[in-house]
Amino acid sequence: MRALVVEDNTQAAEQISHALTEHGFAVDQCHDGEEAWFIGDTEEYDIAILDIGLPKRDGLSVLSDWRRNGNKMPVIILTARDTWRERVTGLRAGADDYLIKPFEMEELLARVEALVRRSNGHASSVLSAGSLQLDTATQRATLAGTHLDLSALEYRLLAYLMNRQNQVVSKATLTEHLYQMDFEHNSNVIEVLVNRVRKKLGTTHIQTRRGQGYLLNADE
Amino acid sequence: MPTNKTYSLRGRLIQRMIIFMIIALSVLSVALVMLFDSYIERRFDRTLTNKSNSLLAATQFTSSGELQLDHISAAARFQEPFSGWYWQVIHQGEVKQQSASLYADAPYPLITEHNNPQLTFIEFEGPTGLALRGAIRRVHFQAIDQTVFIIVSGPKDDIHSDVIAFATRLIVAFALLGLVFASLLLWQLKKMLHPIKELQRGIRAIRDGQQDSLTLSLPNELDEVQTELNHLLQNNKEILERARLQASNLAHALKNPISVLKNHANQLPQSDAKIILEQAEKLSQSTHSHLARARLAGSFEKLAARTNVADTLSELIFSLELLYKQKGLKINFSCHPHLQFNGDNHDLDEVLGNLIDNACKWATQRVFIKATHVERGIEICIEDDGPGIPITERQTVFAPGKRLDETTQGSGLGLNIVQDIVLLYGGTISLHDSTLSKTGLAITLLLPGTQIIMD
Repeated sequence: MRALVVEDNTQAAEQISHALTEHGFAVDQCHDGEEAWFIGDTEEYDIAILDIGLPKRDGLSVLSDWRRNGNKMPVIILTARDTWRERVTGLRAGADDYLIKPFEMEELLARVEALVRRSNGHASSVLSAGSLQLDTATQRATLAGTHLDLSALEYRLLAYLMNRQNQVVSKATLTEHLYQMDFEHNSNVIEVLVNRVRKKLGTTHIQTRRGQGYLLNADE
Repeated sequence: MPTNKTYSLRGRLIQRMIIFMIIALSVLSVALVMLFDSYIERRFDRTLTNKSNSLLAATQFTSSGELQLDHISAAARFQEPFSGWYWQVIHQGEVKQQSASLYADAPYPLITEHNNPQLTFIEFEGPTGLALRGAIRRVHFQAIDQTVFIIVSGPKDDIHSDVIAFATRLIVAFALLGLVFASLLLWQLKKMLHPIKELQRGIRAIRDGQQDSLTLSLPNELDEVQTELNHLLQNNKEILERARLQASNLAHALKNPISVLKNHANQLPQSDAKIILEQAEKLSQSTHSHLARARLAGSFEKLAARTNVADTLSELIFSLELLYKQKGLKINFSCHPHLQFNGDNHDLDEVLGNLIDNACKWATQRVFIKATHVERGIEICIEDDGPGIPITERQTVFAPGKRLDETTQGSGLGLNIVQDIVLLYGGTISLHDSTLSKTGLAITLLLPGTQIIMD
């Protein structure tokens, strides 16, 4: 899962990024509206956390432009603007949720998680594929009831594939959703990562479609 | 007020005009009476002169040297006994002939002879004690060397009574004229001062929040005042807006650091975090409440604004459905499309937003909002099917910072601000049992408003 944090207060951005990374996200930060508008439209994100009062460009206009370009990524507005008129305006501009500062980090994480799940069409925080279960709230994965010990990157891969069960996901997409922007792309790393996860899960769950990518089989 | 003694323009003008009018009319009447008096006196004197002349013309001496009067015209006034209209022709100290009005068998001269060749007017007392004015002359007939003394007199009171009659009529006429002037003045004043009253009414309407600027059609002089007032209002509004914007910017600027501090403190051991979290919470509450109050403070056109309730409700419910999507709430409302709140849309947003948000927070499945037109305005009832609030605690929910459940999100200021706004509009807010479930809470608002009747 990959998240974009748009926040001009660098310390606040740092805190949110840290919390999201701990929660299994690859996080990119940007600190002004121009950059946010560009990155949000060119990179693939599973969620964006967007401040409204930004240098160079207002967060609301950034959001409107994303939506006008058909960008459907879930967006949570995180702002100090707390009037109901501002909330309505933000949500009408295309935000999926609106959280007011000062906020509790747990509240933000709960909302981020719920929104990501909803955008992938899952109602519960527990995703399951056959004997494999993954709780996105607690970040625990179990195989036939036994706990799987996964690294952060391994968890991210599994969570992404579980969110898109029975869909073929290309290596490029995986690279985009699992790593931060500054990561040096190397075609090998995904293969190595998939193999590491397969060792822990058994070979049948993640199938390789040659030339296309990977698929998590829900029936296994 | 710069002067401690107030006065009325109208009063002052009336007072001065009346003083001026009294002085002008009095001077004028005194002058006219004096003029009339001298005119009457001259006419009186001419009558005397004419009589004297005709007597002189009738005076003749016979060849024996006897005085004789021919063809004396008998004017009625000289016939009436003791009327004051007398004449005498005196020769050598004896009254040779006199008017019938003197009515005496042994006549004696009215006055002693004066050695005065010209016609002279004198005032003296008649035989009955009547004040008289007389024309006397002593004529010397050269040819026979005889001197005749002629007296003609009339009652002095005749002049006076004419002048008094004239003066009385003049005073009555002038008094009427004064009254007409005064009523014209009052009428004119009322007309002239009407625009000032209009202006005053306009300014009151602004203060009452019924309009935001003056758009009266006024005379030039007051139109300038109106323009200046409008500029002042605009200026005032801009200053207020700026102050509000600054308060708002300050609050927003504080919220980011508070947010960072709180999140940082949450990472610290609990003993270290406690004080930071407490203080951050206090900071957060005061910025929130001061910001809300800065927004509320003295807006001019608040009461003039009109807000459609159904539009506000649908916008808010659209937002709240997104915010509570996870909970899968059913939020419904019933409201006539032309129901109107007499007030600012931001204020209605805040009141309904906070109350419905609160209802959504506590509801298990359903929230229902019903807005209706009632006799005293509009009534909005917000019901949920949540756990409700015990009757004993219902009074306390509007206290600042009060949070009945510390585990849910929120500053605990929402309801306090809601109450402030509702009171500002002279509305009421009350808590009841909900009809949606056994335990749920219903909040009923009464606000100023109407239902517009469309043709």
